[in-house]
Amino acid sequence: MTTILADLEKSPTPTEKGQYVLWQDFDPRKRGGILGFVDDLLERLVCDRIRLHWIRDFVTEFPLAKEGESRTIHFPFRAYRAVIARMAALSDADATKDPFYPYRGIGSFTDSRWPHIRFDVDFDNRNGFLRLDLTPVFSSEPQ
Amino acid sequence: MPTLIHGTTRQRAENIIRNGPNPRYHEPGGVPVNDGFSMYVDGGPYVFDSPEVYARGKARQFPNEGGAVILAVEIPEEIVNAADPLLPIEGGVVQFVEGFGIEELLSVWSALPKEIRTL
Repeated sequence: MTTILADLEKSPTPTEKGQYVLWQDFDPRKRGGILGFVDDLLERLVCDRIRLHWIRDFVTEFPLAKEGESRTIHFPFRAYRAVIARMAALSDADATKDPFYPYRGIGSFTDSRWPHIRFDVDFDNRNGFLRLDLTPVFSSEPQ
Repeated sequence: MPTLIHGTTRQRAENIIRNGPNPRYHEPGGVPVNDGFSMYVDGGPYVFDSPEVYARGKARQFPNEGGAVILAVEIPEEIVNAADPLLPIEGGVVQFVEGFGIEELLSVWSALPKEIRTL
């Protein structure tokens, strides 16, 4: 079941595991702009075990576990473009794999904060095809 | 004045020089957007792919637009500071959007020093 939130949504209930600040609560001037936003976003995915499906200015969070509800958040489109650009730079997607790179790509990356987690990313920044899927993959071994 | 650069095709760069950046520009076959206008700090460092990568990407998608170039523009610091706070200049990218610097940029555009660098 999907919960659709009509407007900007505040961060989920603060978790003891994560200190991220997201969505409506995110202040780019205090949190380092889009780099801080992506750092907080990855922390959210890891700490709360969720994946993202993002189209234009709507982000849907899905729990990795079968239980639990998804929720959709309205968020400024300009953030989507910047997050996609950061995903293109972080991941191993490149122009040898996709002629539309850096506007489209599939790849993965890791974050040194969580060496046992791989982030799979599938993005398209071309008008008419806008989409970002971002999924953390947990492993017992460093990625 | 900081020099900011924009990776694009030659045809688009020449159009931008003549008319100024269009935050609602949409590519051939694309859909109407209001994305603003992205520029990089000349010389980086870059937290995204470099402007050369973006220029070559556009040139691949639109091979009839004269090839990949870098448009370089000297922009007054106060206008740079008015850009979108989502992308602080320390990250090497400056995003001019409606309400965040694009109006100021367009108001002085014709007077700003500009050049096109062929890749």
